[in-house]
Amino acid sequence: MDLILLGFSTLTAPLVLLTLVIGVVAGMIVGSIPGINDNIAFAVFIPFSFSMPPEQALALMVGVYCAAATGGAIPAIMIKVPGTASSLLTALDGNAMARKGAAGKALSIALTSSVVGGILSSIVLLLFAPSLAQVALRFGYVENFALAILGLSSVVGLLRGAVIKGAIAAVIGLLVANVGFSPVTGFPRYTFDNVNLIEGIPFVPLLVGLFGVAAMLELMVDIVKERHAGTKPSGLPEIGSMRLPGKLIRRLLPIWGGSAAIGNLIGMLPGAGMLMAIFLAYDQAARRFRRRFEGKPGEAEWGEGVPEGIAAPEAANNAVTASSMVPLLSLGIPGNSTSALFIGALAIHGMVPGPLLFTQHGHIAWMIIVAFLAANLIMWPIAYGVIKTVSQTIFAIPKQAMVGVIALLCLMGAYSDGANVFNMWVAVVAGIVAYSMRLAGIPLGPAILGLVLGPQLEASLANSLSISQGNWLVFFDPVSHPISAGMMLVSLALWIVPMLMSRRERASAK
Amino acid sequence: MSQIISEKRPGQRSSDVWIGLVLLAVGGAAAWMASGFDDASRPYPLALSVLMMLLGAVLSARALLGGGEDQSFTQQARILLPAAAVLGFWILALSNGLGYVVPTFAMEFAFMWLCGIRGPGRAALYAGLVTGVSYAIFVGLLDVRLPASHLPWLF
Amino acid sequence: MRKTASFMLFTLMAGALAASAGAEDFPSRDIDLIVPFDPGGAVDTTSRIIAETANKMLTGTEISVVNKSGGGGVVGQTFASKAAADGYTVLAMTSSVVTNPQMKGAGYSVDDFTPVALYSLDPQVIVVPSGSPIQTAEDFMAAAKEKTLNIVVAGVGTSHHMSGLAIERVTDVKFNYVPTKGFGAQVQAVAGGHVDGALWPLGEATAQAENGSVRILTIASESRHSRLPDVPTFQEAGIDIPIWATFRGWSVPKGTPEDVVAKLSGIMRATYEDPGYVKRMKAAGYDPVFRDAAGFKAVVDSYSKLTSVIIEEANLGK
Repeated sequence: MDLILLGFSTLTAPLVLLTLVIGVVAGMIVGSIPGINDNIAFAVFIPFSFSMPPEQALALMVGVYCAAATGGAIPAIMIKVPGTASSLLTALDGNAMARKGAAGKALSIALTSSVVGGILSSIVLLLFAPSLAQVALRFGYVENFALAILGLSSVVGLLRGAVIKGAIAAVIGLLVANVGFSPVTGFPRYTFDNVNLIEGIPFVPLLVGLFGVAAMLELMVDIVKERHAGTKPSGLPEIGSMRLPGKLIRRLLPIWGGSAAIGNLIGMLPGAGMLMAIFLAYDQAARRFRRRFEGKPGEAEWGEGVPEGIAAPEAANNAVTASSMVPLLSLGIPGNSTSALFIGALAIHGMVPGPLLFTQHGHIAWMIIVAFLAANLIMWPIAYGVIKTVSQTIFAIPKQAMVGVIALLCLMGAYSDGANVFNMWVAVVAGIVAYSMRLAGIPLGPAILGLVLGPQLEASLANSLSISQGNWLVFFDPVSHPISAGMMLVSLALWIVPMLMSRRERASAK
Repeated sequence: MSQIISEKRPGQRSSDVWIGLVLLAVGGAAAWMASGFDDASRPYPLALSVLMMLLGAVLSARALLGGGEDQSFTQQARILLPAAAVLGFWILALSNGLGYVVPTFAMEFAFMWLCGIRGPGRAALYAGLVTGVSYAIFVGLLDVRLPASHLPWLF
Repeated sequence: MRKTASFMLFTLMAGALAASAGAEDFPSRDIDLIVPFDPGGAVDTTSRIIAETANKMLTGTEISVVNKSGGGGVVGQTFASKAAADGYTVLAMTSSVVTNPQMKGAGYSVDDFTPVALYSLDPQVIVVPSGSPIQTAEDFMAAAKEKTLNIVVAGVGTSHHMSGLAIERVTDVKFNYVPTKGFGAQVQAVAGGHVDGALWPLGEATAQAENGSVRILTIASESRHSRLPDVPTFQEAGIDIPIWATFRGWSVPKGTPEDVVAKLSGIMRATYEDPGYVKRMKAAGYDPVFRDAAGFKAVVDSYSKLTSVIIEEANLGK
């Protein structure tokens, strides 16, 4: 308790608190700009942080990290362009709801879910970090493979009917993830002798292309079609009232709890990442929605403006932020690529994450933890302010003028990640491919999961087999790998249960 | 993830046939390239490319038998190609020493025009604003290193 | 805006400067230190500490760190190899520059760079999980003779993988390599006891050893390390490899005037002699050293000789 108070007192120094607030505002803005994400923002910021005291630098980073995941939802809802990869699923139901004239409600759900998810995971970080970190250590190659399988299985629930196209999407993602040097032998695969592809297709520009550029093309096609059809261009949705009825809050409570739990767990595991968490949470929410609300009067179709579709991914992605710091602070193992950048920021100030951070620089370690809680607490009013002022102004700009701006932001964002022109081509090509897939009815979600999990899938499989001397049963071994066996069973259930359900439905329809 | 709901127009073959064929070709090319990888690096990509070929074949076959969706790609391409060309030209100009300001202004102007902002004065005003503000943010504030320019007096 | 201004100044005076790019007035404008990796990594952090210290001594100009990442370092390294040989583009050179042409098909060769100065040497160490029954280097070698140990390395063909191959050459043990990308994932594998051990650079291993998650058994350097007086060297442990270390230093494109190289080397020496710099580097987990251009060249050459044999024998080349 003393230590938590120490962290608290470090954080409440006026300048530190101020930088945290600045960080939250900046993160909100960074997140809400398509094409720029927290990775790119940190790449730009870390050099600056050199000349700042460590308390301020880290408070600012915590603020940006927490708020970027929230800010991404704003353009996702308003113009169906995800501000960050973490809000790609929010764009579906969120934008649909906004088009029905309830943009304020959609934003409010996104915001509240983010804050709730973030606070729950900050509390977990605050109270259980050291004991939970040991969970991360239980994950070896075998468990990581099972985790990747579980992640891919989470897609099944999203498909509904379009099974073949869903499978095609997953295969596309997995195949593209093969580009680069083989993890097993270092053999160059699909690199076309281009050194830029040695480590695979650069990931940040790829995401910028898949979400930013593709969404910008979609926006443009909409505008041109409207013009050809001779209709007056539809304006952007009005934000309107942001009040959430109590009934809706009660309805979303279980979604928040479940999604935050998923985000907490996935965030802690290195090698899983935010995207997997939002897919799993979305999948769970979809299943619950179908069981309880689908088809009832007054309910939208899934994907057409359902509150759960906004709440689940937003609660999950903010839960990942704080929990990804659990293994980082306790063990020095980053939970994802963004939290890995905290290592650099700490190193610049002569600190190494891990148990020693708590003994040698306890005030910093606890300040980071308390800052996550504080950032989420102050996020609600700040986000509210940003939406009511900045966003209100920005979305008053005519839609037609936005296309060029988003294009420029995406390409410059991609370029800023390493000052490499190749990245811009990656973003453009990825954008066109993603748009074509959309036209072809091939869902983007499974492809993204394939991309994210592909490298881990192959490497962890190869390493598991190499360590177990070729024993494929190791993944189902309940004695030496109970976690893996459990995850494999859950994955199996994710596949089988929907099949059984649909059979029963068909049988009962007869 | 967005569901494109399109009704199959009568008397027309589903576009899924072509999508399936494209996947078959891409999968085939990937499989052919994979056959040249070393023993340990080959099986995984080879299996995925064969799977892609299979799924492509199934999609085509299903569409030929009357299922599947239809979507006109030519109509979309007429809108998308100019946009892709503008982006491509901008990258080429920026990376080949034409600086930031001129290509960016041209790109923004082109997009305004494509999106139906008429009146050269209005489009130019918007394009100029975007160019100026973005230059100030990226180069001035964020210190992004742009590719070397042959026309440094133009920024 | 400073950069733009100096760039414009440069274009105005380009002709004059090119003609008289002597060392008397070097540096007369900002020096770009190309870091071919993302911000936040080891090379970036050390480069920034150096730049900050050096900039306090330079007047009128400064060293600015430029991150040009991609392709595992090859993109930035290729960029630097093609830059003007005037000393205003300096590469933060790591051991990968030596092996990338052979391993990754990079378009330059190590001879395209002139070494300027070395600032960090990171010897290889063998670590085991802290819960492992293996207590000493002798235990380790004995265990390795008995059965094939699973050893984590950063990737196939990395310096760490090659150090393992080098051990196999001089002893009669064989390892099963478990290539694991990213240091975090490697810590997870070792500290979680999912493998028998790992080949790591000392810098990163020290922090983990101090955390108590791993045990350092032996170190591939000529003498014992001051921070780890109880850890024997490879040779003391019966592995006949005198030194195996990755390095970090500065280099410039081939053809840079000698006096400019000497001036740059001097900037690094002055940095090294700054007590604040040494303290800061140590706090960040790096042991600062200094070797001048000739000394650095010797390190690069010996590393190049060591690795080229292994790359050929193990058929790792492209």
